[in-house]
Amino acid sequence: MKDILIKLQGVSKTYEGWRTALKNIDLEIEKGEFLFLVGASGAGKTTLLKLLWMEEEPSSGMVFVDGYSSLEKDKKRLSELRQKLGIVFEDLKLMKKRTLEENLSFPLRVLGKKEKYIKAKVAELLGVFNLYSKRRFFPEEISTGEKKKLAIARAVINEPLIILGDEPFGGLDENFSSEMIEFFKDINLKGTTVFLATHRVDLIKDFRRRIVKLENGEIIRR
Amino acid sequence: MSFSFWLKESFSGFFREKGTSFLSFFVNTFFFLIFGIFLLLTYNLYTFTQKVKQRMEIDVYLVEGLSQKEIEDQRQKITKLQGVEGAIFRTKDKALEEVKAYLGEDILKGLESNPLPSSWVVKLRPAYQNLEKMQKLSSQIEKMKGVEEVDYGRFWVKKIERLFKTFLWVNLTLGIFIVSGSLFLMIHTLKDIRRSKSEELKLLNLLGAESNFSRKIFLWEGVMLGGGSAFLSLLILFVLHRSFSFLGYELTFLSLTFSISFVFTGFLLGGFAALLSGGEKLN
Repeated sequence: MKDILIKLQGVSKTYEGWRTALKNIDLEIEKGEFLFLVGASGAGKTTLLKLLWMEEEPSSGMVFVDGYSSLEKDKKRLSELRQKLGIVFEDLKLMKKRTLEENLSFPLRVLGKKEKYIKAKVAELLGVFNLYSKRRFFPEEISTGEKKKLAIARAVINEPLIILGDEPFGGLDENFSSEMIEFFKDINLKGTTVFLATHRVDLIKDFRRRIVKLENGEIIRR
Repeated sequence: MSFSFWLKESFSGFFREKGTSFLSFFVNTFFFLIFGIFLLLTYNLYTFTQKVKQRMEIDVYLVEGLSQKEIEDQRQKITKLQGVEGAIFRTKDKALEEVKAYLGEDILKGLESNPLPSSWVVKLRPAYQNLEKMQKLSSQIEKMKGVEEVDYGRFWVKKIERLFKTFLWVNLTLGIFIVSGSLFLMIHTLKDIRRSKSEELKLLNLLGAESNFSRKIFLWEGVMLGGGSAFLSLLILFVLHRSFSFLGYELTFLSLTFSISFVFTGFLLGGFAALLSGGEKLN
C-alpha cells in the first residue's frame, strides 16, 4: 500500500485581479520520494510549493500534507506541520540582523530544543557546509553561494520529514549545484521526502527519479 | 528555551530600534524615579507617623485634692474604656520633675508651691492612636468626676494625619499618571520593535513557531524594558538618598521588600504593555 505524504486534489489557485497560477492540479507524493518540480519562470512552481507549506490557500480543491488539510484552521496543528518541514525559500529569507549561527538555530529553538543540543547541531551543520569559520558573520557578509548553503542548512537542521526547496540551485554554478543535489540525495536516503522546484533542467537531466513538469499552471508530466 | 536566549532576544529588539527603545527606557526611568522619590518621602513620613503614633497618649489633668479612693475609681473607669492599654498616674511632684528635666531648674523659681496638677497618662492600643478615636476617648474621660482637662496633642495629630493623607493622594495620583504614561510609552516602543521584526516573525511563523514563541519574545522585551527602567531608577534613587544623607538629611531608604516590589511592579507593567501592544495578533 502506498504511503502518501502529500496530496493535491483538484487544486486551483487564482490571485485576485490576476491570472490563474494553478489549474486543477492533482498530485500525490509518497513518503521517502525524491522528486523535482520543473517549469519555466511563472509556471506556478512557487505557488504550488507555497500551498504545500500552507502560506497560500487554494482557491479550490484541497491540499494534504502529512495529514494536515488546507481546510483546517487550527494554528497549533499548522505550526506542528511546519515544524516537520524543511523549507528553502526562493528569496532565502535569511535574517539579515542575525549571525549565521543565530539563523541556523531558530528552527531548533522553535522546536524547543535544549541550548546544548542547539549549539552542537549548529556547529555540526556549519562544519558540513564549510561555514564554521564564518559563524559570527551576518548574511550580508557572505557570498551568494554561502547564503544558499546557509538556507539549505537551515532547512535540514531540524531533521525534517519533508524538504521543500524553491529554486535551491538558483544562481549557483554547476559543480556546486551537483554537490547540493548529492547532499539532498544523502538526506533522502535517510528517509526524508525531498521535493525541489527548479527551472534548471540541465542539472537534473540525469536524474533517474520522478520529475513533475508544470506549464502555465498545469501539470503536463507527472 | 534558556534564560540567556530570551534575555539576548529582548536586547536584540532594543538595539534594533535604538532610538525609540532608549528614549523610552530613559523617560520610563525618569517616571519611575519621580514616583520613587514620592514613595520614599511617603515611606519616611509613614515610618515617622508610626513612631509618633507609638507615643500618642492622652494626658488627663486632675482637679486638686482628690482622695486616694477617687483616684483609684478613676483608674478603674479609664482602664475599662475600649482602646485603653493602661493608665499611669503622674503625681504633682513627678510632673514637676519632668518639667524641670525638660525646661531646666530655673523655670519654676520664685513660686511658693507646685502649680502643676497630678494627672493620668493614658496609653492607647495601636488601633486607637488616631484623631477620631482619641477625640472620642477624650470626651468620655473629660466627663469623669475629678477631671480638669484632657489633652492629646490634637493639633499635631491632625497635622500629621493630614500630611500623610496628602502624600498618599499625591502618590496615588502620580502613580496613575506614571503608570498610564509608562504604559503608553512602552506599548509604543514595543509596537515599533515589532514592526522592525515583522519579517523575522513571519519567517518564524513559516518555520513552525507557535504564537506563544513570538508572544514570549515581546513579553520578555516588555518585562526587560519595564523592570530595567524600574531597577535603574531605584539605583538612582539610592544614590540620591546617599547623597542627601551626606548632606545631613536623615531619610530611611525603602525596605528590601519595598524595593523588590518596586522593581517587580516595573516588570509587571512591562509585561502588561507587551500584552497590550498587540503581541497576540502576531500569527
